Amino acid sequence: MPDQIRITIACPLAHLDDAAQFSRATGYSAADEATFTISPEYRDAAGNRYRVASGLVAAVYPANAAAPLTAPEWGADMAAAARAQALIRIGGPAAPGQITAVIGEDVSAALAELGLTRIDPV
Amino acid sequence: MRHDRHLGHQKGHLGWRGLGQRGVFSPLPFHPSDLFAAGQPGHWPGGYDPTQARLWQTATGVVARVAAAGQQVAIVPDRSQGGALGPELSAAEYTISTANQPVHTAAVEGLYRFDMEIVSGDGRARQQGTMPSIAHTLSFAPALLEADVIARPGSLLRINTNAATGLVCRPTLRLIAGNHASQEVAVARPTLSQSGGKWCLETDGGDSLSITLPAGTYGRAWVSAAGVVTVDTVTNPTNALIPTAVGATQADVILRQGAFTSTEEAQIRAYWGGLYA
Repeated sequence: MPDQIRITIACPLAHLDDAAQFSRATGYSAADEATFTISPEYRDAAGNRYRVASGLVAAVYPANAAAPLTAPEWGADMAAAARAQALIRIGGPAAPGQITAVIGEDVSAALAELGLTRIDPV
Repeated sequence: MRHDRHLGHQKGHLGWRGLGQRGVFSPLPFHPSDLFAAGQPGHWPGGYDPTQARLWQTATGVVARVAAAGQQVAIVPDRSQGGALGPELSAAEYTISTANQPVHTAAVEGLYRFDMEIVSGDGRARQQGTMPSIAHTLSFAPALLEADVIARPGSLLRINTNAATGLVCRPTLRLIAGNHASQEVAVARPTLSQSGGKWCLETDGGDSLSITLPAGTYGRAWVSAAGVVTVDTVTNPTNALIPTAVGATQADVILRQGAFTSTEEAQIRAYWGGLYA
């Protein structure tokens, strides 16, 4: 089992505030609150908009993120974090009412599974 | 000074070519450090070979040297200023027990080199940086451990120990000159990669490396692992990872206050052409 895995997460714009607290609660430092703030914006075929974050996390992260949350030493709004946690679904496509995560090394494949395209293509 | 930089970054290069056919010294070949010779601010990592560049990650809160492809990169030191070390910021020696031992509260943001020797006593000790920083905690060292950590004003750099009785440690802590790049947000860190035998950073499309530079117009040049060089200008740059497409690579980057002259651009292209083409 690798030490780290890649996870790609699509968060609807309406849930960014709660997702920020979830990132803060399950991340490696308080700075992880900005996980979606600094991420690029994508949209699905229907025009719904999302922020998408992708990166390497500890292999145990998915299990920890699904378990009952505990407050980190740097503090977090745990009620907001729990609201975001309840919205998480593993596997695409992305949908406006959920936070969708895809696990896998290939970011392009994850974006295809999520059904998202970048709003400001590069 | 010019010769020192060359000696520091280019093994076997003595700073001159020796006597030419006419019995005079030939001019020095171009080196990126020449772009900063007048003290211009900027950022130049000198590539991402982990055996040459001191790259750092903070996976799961523990600082570790980036050593292999596939690892995330949280800190990229700037070599444009030669990486000179500032004055010692630690007392010479501490005798500590179970309490955390403060060493220094950072007054300025920067990259600090923190290393420590355990002189005597029972127990283990490690360096630790508190918020606001991405320093976090180093693994316990059996004897000697060194790391470069980012700290911001107010960040406490300290020794964390499990010693029950007196443990004598001798830390050293010094600020490293330069404009270093870092990323505190874990999933926004690029990944160290190797493409065609060339070390590079690879982005997943949402990565960046934050950098703080004096305001102004900067010449910006970067090269992919495939040797594609792009040169332009940017105002008030805040990011040292330029490509944004999924899977794109960056093998080196130069940010230098003031647009590059046509001669400088040609020199940069030729230099990287010899390394990455």
